Amino acid sequence: MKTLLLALLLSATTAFAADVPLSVLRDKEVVSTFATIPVQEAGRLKPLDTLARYRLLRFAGKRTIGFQNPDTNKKEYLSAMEWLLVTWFRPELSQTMPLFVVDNSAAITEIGVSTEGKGKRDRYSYNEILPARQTLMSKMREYQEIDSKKRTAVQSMIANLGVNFLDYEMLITHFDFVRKISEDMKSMPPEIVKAMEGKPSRMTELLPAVMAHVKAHPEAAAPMQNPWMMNVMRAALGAMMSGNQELSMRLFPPPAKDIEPWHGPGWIIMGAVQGKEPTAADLNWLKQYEELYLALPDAAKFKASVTSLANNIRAAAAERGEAKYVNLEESYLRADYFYYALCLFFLGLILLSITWASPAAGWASMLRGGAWVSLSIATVLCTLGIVIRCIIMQRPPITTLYETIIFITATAAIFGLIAEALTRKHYGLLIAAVAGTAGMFLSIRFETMEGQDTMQQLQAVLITNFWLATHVPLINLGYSAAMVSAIISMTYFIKRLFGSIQGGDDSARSLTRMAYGFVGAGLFLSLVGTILGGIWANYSWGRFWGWDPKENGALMIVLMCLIILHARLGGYIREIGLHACNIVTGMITVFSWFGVNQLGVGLHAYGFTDGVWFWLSMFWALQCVFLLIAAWLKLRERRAPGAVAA
Amino acid sequence: MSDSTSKSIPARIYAFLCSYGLATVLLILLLIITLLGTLEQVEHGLFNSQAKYFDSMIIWSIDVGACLRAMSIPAKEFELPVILPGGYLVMAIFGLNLLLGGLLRIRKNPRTIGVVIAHFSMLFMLIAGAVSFSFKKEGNLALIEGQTGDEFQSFHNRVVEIEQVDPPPADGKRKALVIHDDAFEDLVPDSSGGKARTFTHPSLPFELVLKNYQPNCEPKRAEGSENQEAVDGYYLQAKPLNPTSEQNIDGIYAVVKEKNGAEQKGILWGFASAMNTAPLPWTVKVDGKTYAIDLGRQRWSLPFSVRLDKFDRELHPGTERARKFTSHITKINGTHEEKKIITMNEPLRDSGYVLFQASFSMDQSGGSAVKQSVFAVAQNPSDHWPLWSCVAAAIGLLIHFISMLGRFMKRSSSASATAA
Repeated sequence: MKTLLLALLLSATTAFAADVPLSVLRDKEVVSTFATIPVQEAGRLKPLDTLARYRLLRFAGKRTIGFQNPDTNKKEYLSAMEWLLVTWFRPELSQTMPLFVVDNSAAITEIGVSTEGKGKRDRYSYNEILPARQTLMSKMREYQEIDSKKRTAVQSMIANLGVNFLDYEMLITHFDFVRKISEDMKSMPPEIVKAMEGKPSRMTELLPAVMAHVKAHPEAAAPMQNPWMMNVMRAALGAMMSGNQELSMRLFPPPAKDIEPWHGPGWIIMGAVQGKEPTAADLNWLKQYEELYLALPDAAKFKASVTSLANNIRAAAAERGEAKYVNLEESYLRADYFYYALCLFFLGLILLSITWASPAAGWASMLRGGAWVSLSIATVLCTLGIVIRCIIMQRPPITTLYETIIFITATAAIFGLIAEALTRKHYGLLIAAVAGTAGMFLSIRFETMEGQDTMQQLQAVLITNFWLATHVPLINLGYSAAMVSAIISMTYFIKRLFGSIQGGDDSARSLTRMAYGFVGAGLFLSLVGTILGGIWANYSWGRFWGWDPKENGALMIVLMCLIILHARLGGYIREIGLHACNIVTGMITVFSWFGVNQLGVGLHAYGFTDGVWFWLSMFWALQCVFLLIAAWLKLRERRAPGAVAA
Repeated sequence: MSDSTSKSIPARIYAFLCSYGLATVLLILLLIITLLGTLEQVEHGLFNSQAKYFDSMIIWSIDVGACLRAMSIPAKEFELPVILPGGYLVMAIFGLNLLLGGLLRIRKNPRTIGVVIAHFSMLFMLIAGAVSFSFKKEGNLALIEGQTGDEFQSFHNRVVEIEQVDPPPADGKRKALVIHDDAFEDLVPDSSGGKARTFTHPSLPFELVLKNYQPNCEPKRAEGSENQEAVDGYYLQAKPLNPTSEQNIDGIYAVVKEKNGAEQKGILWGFASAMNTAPLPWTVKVDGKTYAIDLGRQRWSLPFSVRLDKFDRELHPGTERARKFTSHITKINGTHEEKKIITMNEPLRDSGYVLFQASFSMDQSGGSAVKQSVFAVAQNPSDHWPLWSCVAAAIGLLIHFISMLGRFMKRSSSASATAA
């Protein structure tokens, strides 16, 4: 009888899990309700959508995933939230989706998976990699032993793939504590099975029986000796969604207000098997979560369960005075300000480029007007995105390397638009368009490379809104002004190269004055920002200056600006010299902005990202081309008969 | 412009020291030094790079290989011999250039007032840096909950201390003779068999000879070794220098020579004093008195005592990331006690000393957690000078650039009017 019941339950669970229609999981209301559920991850309350987006971004390197819909037999795309729901509730389908991005197929070949029909950079499904799981795990462990800076690119890829593969396995087993409970119960000790007689096979019912058994037989708690305990713990880990404690999903607000960490289904199960009795509130949450799964495949019942769970979590969070900005964050994610800003900056750049064909024509004037509008809206979107992030995090705009990119982009675009308003020479528009397009592209690329939430909790020493609102923005405004001056100088050299301006003519002088102005602004902002940083350090750590790499980077920008100003006043550099020096300023700024973070030493050693040196080298190589152009122009002017040195 | 050849030599020197050219060259040198000093930190550590590039008069070599490797460019070991002015020398000449050219010779009129203020502030900042470099004391004070301390230890300065411990001083206050590291850190062993230096003091009944200083070493059994310096069967084996200077453990051989010609030999090893392990410091008995001789970090007294009452660490929920460290302390001055809180970004300032929350440690001992809070302690005569300098620099540069912008706008509008 007992065996029969178990078999029935097992077949029932297996049947409905596979039968969940995709339409239920992709229902707009369902997706939207799930997306706004507050969860605690990495010490921060955020919408579930944020978690889903960054998991998908980390695995796939993009924000949507394409798959062959078995219902329609067409290729369709899932949003991150839809993908997470399919992974939870239709794992067998999710496992066939091309999820894991691998930049070099050599990594795949090394673990013994066929790359036939795949490109050098391609995506692989879980099922494609699964046969090589053992090799992948062993190589992952081997390469993790190597210092990350000394790993080859392929070794890093295999190490990352292994981590992502394991994390994904936790996603597909997230609901195993409901889905597989009946199957797991088959291997459990008879006392537990007996205690469950007449009760539904639910984890909420099973936990007390498991706890009683472990209390009577402490040796049962050792998973390696007890396969059934191993299954329970595996289910608990899946419910946690990550082996990393910080990245586990915490879904349930505890009733006691003085307990800050939220609880999660995995934590409740794991805690119980380790002897920590779950509270009635915890079991109630776990029951609601079980009912969510058990409601499937009935669409109406599922929708009602999701809504009820989401409302209960929100109400409990509100009672604790938490999760106030979760809805705002969800709308921020949906609005995708920076993506649309990129599109508009690029549109502005295209419109401006077209005007170069005939700058004096009437239609060119109209296009420039269009560029003004497009760039202004893009700048507003970018600024709005930053402001909303400040509201969500309740702190000033810059705390991570990613945030420096969006801030510097927005301010460079603002600088460009201000310069345009003051000079009306169209160069300001060009600055805004180039800085905006490059900066927004960089921000999106950087976010993809990092693959983690860009709104991070801060280390203790950084939690001071006064200094974050003064020193940090000023330094970054200094970077911004220095980059703007470098962009102006790049424009100068390109125009000189194509002969659209001549040394010393009105346009060239106008560009030079503008570049000089931004050098001055860069000096002021960098100098005051750097000294304020020193004062912060003095008031917080007792030392004004410590020759830390980031401090040195800022100092180098100040020094380069001072070199330009003094060399100019002393008559050592004129037009070409000033622009060449500005190019060097740009190179130094990029070193200070990104390079020093890659050194991995000092107090500011944050934001280490693989592959940054390569892109920095590319940028510096490009800038060296401009310096060669400068040398060539200078040489040509010297050789020109009767020429005045520029 | 006057003909430079007609100028006297002092006038030419003055003109050179005031010149934009000198300022530009010095700034370029400082830029290069800063870049190299930053890159070398990756392999050589902050302390060594700072000493080599920023605190030095002359730079004798550049580790090109280390600089390239810091930027992930594969490179073999390559040390380039050079003679470059060091950061200290460059900044000293730059200070002079700033004074003569930027403050004395500069034309003083409403258009340059901002520049003069900015130059003055920078000179003041350099002076603040020099004062801090020369007179600042900094170190740390580590206390476990319930413990009281009134001394802090230097981060880097090493000293040999000689203290009479038996009979103890009549007033009960600790008194020690101190030999600073600049008097013995050059005594590194060489091919000639080593270097030694003798130290005497009227209050001591013996001479102390220190020899063969090892900046990073560990004692090893001398069995089977041909080491001539072995003391009680041990010698100091040199180890490669660690880039993080605080992680190096130094050692030195010591010989106490009594007036009657008797000698007592010992090894002073930094780790022993750091760990407070018995039976160190090395003790010698001379003329019926016992002296402790120790190699360790320099210690300074605070004008008050500090008792750590409680230490709290707050974490971001569900993580190991610290949100706040807080030390609840009692400041004790004689019989007067005062409760204070030291937390991140909120140090305790008192009597010219500042105590900052620097780090902490937690150990499980006997089933209960033992919390230790570490305070960085600083005494800096130029503590607030950078702030005043920053305010002055900001005002000066603002005046200058706003007036420049105004002139630019005026020129632009008059040019537009002319064109119209």
